[in-house]
Amino acid sequence: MHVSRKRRYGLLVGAGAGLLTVGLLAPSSASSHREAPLITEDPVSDNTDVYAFVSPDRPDTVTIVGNWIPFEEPAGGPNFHRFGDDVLYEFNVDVNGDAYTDISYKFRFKTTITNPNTFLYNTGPVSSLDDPDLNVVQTYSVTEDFGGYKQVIGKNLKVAPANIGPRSTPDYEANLGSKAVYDIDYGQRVFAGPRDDPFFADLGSIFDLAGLRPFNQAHLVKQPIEKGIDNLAPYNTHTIALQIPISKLRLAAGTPTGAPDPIIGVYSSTYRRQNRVFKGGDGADLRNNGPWVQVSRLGMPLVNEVVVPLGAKDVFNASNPLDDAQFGAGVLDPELARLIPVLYPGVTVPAAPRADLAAIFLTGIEGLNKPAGVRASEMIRLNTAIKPTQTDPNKQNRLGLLGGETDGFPNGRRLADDVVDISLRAVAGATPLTPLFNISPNNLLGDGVDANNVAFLKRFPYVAPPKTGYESGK
Amino acid sequence: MRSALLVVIVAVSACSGGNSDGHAPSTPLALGLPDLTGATVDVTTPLTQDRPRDGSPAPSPREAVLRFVRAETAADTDSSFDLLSEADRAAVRTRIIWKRLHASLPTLVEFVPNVQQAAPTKTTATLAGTARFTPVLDEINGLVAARANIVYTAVAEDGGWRVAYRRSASEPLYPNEASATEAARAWLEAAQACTAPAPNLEYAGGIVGSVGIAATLCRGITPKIESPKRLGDRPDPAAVLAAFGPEADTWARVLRVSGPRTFHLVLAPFDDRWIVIGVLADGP
Repeated sequence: MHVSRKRRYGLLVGAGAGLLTVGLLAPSSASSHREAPLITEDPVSDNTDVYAFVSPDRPDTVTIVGNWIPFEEPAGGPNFHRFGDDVLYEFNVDVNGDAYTDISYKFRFKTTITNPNTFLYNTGPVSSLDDPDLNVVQTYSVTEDFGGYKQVIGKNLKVAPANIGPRSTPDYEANLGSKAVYDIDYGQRVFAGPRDDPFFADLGSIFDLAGLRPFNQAHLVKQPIEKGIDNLAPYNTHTIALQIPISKLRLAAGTPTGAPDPIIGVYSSTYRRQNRVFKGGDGADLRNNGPWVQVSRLGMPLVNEVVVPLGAKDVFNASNPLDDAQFGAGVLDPELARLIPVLYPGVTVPAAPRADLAAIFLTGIEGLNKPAGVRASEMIRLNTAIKPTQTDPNKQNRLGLLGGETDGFPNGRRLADDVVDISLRAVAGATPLTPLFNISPNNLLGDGVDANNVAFLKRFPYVAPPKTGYESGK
Repeated sequence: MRSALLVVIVAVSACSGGNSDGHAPSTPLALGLPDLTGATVDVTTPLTQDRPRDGSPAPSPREAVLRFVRAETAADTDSSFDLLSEADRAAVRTRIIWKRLHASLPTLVEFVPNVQQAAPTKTTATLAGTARFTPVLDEINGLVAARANIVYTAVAEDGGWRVAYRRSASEPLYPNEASATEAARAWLEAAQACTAPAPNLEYAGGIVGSVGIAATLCRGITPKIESPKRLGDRPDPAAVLAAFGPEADTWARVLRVSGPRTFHLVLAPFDDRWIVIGVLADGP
């Protein structure tokens, strides 16, 4: 009932409302960079990846990382990439497996221009977040919805600026990146700004008829064997990272002692206003009208990319986990599982229906990360009672659970988890859930890109600092 | 064919040196994880809609609205869900969703029906009155005015009456527009004195736009203020609309300020007063 002169007050007021009542679902593979037709035209709303893990250096907390803007070129000035002032970004947490969001965190950004009479992003070296030479300043607010009770838990927080180069942003991480970490309400910690894109994959080969360069000679259409190429290596992304005490997540269950089940579900959603209009036909006067509309949704990597067919990808992005039953059939009998034996003759995979994939992508795995009474829905499921096996994210086993680390994907998703190889092997049946297929060559499949090209930080937000525009292209 | 693939894999393993786990096989784990080969699982059953409890329709349209209002002001969302019309319940679907929606809906504090009411029909009736809400101004839902005229609609259902929430309408009531000029003047006086304005004069979440322009007033001449105009009369209100939503075009007021620099002060009708929410440059 946000009142204008005279209007009906509808149920779909506000983002939460839209999310809850407009429902459709879907899971995802190039993680989620440009995964659906509509969202490819809107990079600032395009959620590329979501991660959720027990923090390696603060094991009493969970860290959620969401990335937007795929293939972000570091040298993209003078109007460097930034979050959308007209976009609503959100993290959602389900603490009891019923597919309802119990806690959400909404992020809104706004840009202020110190001097509108110059085209410059900065008018001199920028040595702090408050440096007057930083001409384009983006700030943000964090609004928490805790079981229906809403409060602003962070406001006027500064976004880390672009990493331009040695003249403009000297000693970037010490002066700017690390200073954009804020301690907020209830021991929570937050960061927003550009970062190195932590996702690593050979997208060029994967999208060339599911090619895997190390297995080029085994493909139906043979090519010379090569090492994988990390096509994300040159690029940045825009990261929102949030660290939440596990004790708080348990409070959301509504019992004084906390939730008996330590397993949470995590996904992100992104919203825009329903209409964008150039007022009076003036291209310089863009107006956004109408209620918030969900345009992107992401939990598990590669579901919307690989499992959901082209015709339903935009539907998935607009959907709510409550309605994921509509996508269930695609998970039980994914197209990729039928393609693998065709494209890689000699490889056999489990027959549909694939209860193993439903466990990995929709419900969680019994005895690991499946909540009691779970409603099948696509979100990252994390057992917060399983402590990190490594304090240094760079030492984590890239194969996660398949590599013997129960704190890794698909129990949550860590930055170092090689979700392409893990998911590929999962689709081929090379997991403990289908032991007859957990054999060679199924359990050797991979794209040949095994790690990010730069090291992760050992502290929050863990994602590596952004590449500089000055060095871009070298 | 499998043997051919294995030959390839051996070749790959030989050429992938330099990465210790480069193509490590996923090894069987002693985790007690279930064997799901050939298992069945239900992941395709859609969400079912909650039904109202027995006896929930009210005996009259007035009683339906007043019961609904009582439930809402008491945060008893179970009871207000029972009083929603079938069309509304179909849209909401479950009690939990209805409860969650309240984080995005205006919080009703009080509703006082008018003395005069329109005559009902056999299937529809309205109940008009004035309402108080918890005032809100944020960047998620925009503005919720503290007061509004409301017309609730009730519909005949299940032998009684329920509230057609989505068919109900509201008209916000804002503080006197003349007081916007006084609020702007007080804010500008603080800027001229080079001090931070009192917290009740501006938006706590941070002013939008070209905030730095106001600093030019510091120890400068007393600026002239023009009378309030609609936001849409300004050439580029994008920053305000992006932050507070498209309806800011309706409720926000803009005052042109002429001083060392000319700029526009944007104010919002929050609670019983006007507060500054933005500073916009005068021209591109």
